[in-house]
Amino acid sequence: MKVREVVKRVLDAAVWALIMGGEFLLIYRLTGVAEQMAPIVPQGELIITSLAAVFIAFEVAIRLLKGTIFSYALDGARAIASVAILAYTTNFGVVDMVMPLEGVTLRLSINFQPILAAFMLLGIVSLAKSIMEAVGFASKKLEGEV
Amino acid sequence: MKQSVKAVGLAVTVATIILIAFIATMVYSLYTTVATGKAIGLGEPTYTLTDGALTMAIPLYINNTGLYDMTDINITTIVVVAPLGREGAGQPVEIASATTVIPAVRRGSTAEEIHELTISLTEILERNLTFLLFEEAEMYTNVAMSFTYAKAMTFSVSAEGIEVPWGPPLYGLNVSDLTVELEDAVPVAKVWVGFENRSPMDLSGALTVELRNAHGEVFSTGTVDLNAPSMTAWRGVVSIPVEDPSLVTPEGEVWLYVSIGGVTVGPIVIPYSGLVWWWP
Repeated sequence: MKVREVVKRVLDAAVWALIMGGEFLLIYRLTGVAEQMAPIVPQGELIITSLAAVFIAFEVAIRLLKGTIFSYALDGARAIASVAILAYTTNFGVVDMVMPLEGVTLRLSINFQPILAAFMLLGIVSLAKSIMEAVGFASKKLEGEV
Repeated sequence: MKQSVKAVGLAVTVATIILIAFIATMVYSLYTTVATGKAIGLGEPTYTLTDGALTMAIPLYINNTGLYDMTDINITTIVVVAPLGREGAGQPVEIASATTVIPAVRRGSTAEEIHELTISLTEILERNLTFLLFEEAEMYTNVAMSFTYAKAMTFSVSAEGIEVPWGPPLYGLNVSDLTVELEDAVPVAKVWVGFENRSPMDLSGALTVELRNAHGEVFSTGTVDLNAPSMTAWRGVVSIPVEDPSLVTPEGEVWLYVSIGGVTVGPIVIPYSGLVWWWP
């Protein structure tokens, strides 16, 4: 692979990393949203940072390995990893918060399991799509070799 | 193969966009509903005292100005009291709980319901909580509310330890100036009874006074009507004939029975001394 091609891929990876999670992480960090959310949702930092990090890391790897079967494998792995992280960090769709308010302890619980289930379903479909793409890629390669 | 993969990819993208749009509109809708400050409100509570129970009826309304329905709304209140003694607050005791369920509040509509909290006076007597009738106490309310929004997200909010002032209906119940006089040649015992009705409810019932001598024998008994509006002091004289004046002793006890809301509280035993005889 030529140097020009490598540079092109690195730039492509950087741009897509910015689109697929980087910009969200920058907005979250630089606009003060993180500081505002921290006392209300203590686990919000972990959820957003880990999800953005997973998306960025997978996107960079996928873009760098474009044109190989690994990019499809990573695409499927990203779908599974993002859903798994979302489920784990949100306590499987039930978030509990405690807010002291003028001497009264306020407890807030949000149950969004139906929405998490929808995201999980989309993750599984994405995985299926990646498998189909990988099979298609492998068969094309085999056809080319034959 | 390529076409089907493209179709699946497109379907996933469209579904993701729809899901994110749904979450965004739901959060925005809920935020605008709550931001009005009039989403949930409580009216002026009314108090009734019947069948041995004090019922506090709190009107509540839910105004759903959002884009989605609110369903399975559940509001629960638990009232806990702690007696205020000389050594600070005592062990807290649960005295009442109530749950109000509203099945659904459609978008753009308002639901009104009465949240009824009943404190059983019979239970107060049975559980030896009569201090609530005579003494100040620290009362706390624990409130829990849950609802499902857009049939997708369930919110549960609970607040513990909301301080509520408790006013005892028979605060400072006491007797004074016990005398025995002759009225139309009949010996009559007169005793002043007083208390403050610090509760939010009007008291109406009967007060029975039993006078006992130093040997515990009843020498006079009588009943007067009791009518004490909320937040007022009541003081009245109870005049009761003495059937056998030979039983009267300078020291003894006054036994009081208060009948309110279908429940009789007593005896409240108050010793007396220095009884004054007025013979013309």
